Amino acid sequence: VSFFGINLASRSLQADQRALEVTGQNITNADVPGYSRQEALLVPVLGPGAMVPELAGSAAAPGGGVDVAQVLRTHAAWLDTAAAQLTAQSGQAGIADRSAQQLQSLLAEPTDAGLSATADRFLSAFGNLSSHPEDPAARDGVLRAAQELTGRLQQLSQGLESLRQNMVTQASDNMSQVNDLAKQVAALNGQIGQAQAAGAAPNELIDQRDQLLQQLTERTGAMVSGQEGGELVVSIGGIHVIQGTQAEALSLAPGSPASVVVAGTGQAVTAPGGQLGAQLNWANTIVPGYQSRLSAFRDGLAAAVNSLHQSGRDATGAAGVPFFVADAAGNLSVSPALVADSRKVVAGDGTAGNGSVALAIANLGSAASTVLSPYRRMVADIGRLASESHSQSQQADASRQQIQAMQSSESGVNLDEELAQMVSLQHAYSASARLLSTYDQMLTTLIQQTGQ
Amino acid sequence: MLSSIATLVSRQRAAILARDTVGLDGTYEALLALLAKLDLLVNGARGGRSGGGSESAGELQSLAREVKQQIAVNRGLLRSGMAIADHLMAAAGEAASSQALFTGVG
Repeated sequence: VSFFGINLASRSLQADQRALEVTGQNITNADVPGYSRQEALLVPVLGPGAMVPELAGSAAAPGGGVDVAQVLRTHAAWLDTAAAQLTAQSGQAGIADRSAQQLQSLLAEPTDAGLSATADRFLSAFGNLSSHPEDPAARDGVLRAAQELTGRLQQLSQGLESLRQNMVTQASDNMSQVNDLAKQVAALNGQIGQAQAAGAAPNELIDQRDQLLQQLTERTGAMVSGQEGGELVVSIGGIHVIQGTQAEALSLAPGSPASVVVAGTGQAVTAPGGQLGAQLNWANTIVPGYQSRLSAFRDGLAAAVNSLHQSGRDATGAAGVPFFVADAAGNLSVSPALVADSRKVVAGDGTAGNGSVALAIANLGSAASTVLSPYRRMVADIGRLASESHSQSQQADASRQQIQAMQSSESGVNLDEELAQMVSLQHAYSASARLLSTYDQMLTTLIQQTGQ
Repeated sequence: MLSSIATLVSRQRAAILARDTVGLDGTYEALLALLAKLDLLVNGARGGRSGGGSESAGELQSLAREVKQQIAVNRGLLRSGMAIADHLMAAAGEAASSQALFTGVG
């Protein structure tokens, strides 16, 4: 075999081996999440025959064999964009769903422990007092029910604040994860750039980076550009947090409302999406909204009860004092004067057997009254929110799974397909090898015959 | 005729390397069709006829050696490809929990 023949065989064997290595890589990584199937792009190499103008391009021109020009990564960019949007939506919807479920659990409606039942018991106690204005046990019953009501109101108020603070903590933890992911992506950008500059195809690194970008998108709704060549840029809320090998650290600005800033410059990151967007939305808008509504309900109830209570006279004949008092944070408690002396609980106008004031307070729970309706609307709204959030989360998850299945069929490894390809290749190799063996024997005979 | 065989062997090499089963099957059929003619040529040479018209025995021998070398390259490629593919098929078969298929080397 001539030098050219040896060179051709060597190069061709290397190309063949590389192509089969790529198949092996696909088989080995068939179950690895995020792995994109690879294909060896084989290109013909010009041999000396191509230099002869009469032969160039013709079947008779002895070629230089083939080389693996590139190991291509089977990947659909449009699916990445769609998957990124759905991943961000799914992250956001997941947080909203879990938070709405927590909120609903906190209300515990409609159960005996819920505020509605507690308020009903409080108003019923006044109803009982209106029927038995002289009965000390009825007054004690009012005080017990009132303390239960203020306790429940305070518990709800603390629960909402705890939920809000929990959202801020989650956003802060999320931020640490986001910063970590951004650093890893920037480092990978450097490695990918170096490998590409050296002419290599760093497909595994690109797969790894795609996985990290997916997590980043789920957490922040990040927008990614430049994946298909050029410098990779990741933006969150309009700020470039990753640009090539540079990553900006983000942090939560101190104070309320919770906001995200670039740690180095203090520049505000407006409207992040994904889980972070949902966490900030719940910490800054949704939970505070319900806190305001609960406060408004509590203050309205206290004002109505106090107004009626002060309009009558107690069992000692003195003018009624406010039934509820509020601390600086607005938390209610039963007036200490009433707790100390239950005779100060007003039942009516002070005349014997009169329970008109207690009846008026009991009637605050009637359908015609608007005192309890703000809370009832709030319970209904939270119920609707929980139901919608759950449905949206399920829908977002289903859509995400669907797009991931599409990505998998586009980029993933189908073992059956790889096997089928191998089997047909083996058949073709085997048949050709047997034929060449026959040819070789016949040519040997021919050489022997002509040499005699 | 030997030139035609050489051309087909060259095409076959490209098909082997591209793992192009259709191309391999095509060159197989074409080479199979020429096998009968080669047989005639070999028998003709045995009978003292070159079968190549104006070609001398020396030229025929030289051309046959060249084709034989080209065939040797292809056989090497096929052996290597089959050995690696056998290994991969075993791996794929194991991964897919299905029976692996093996083929012999021709």
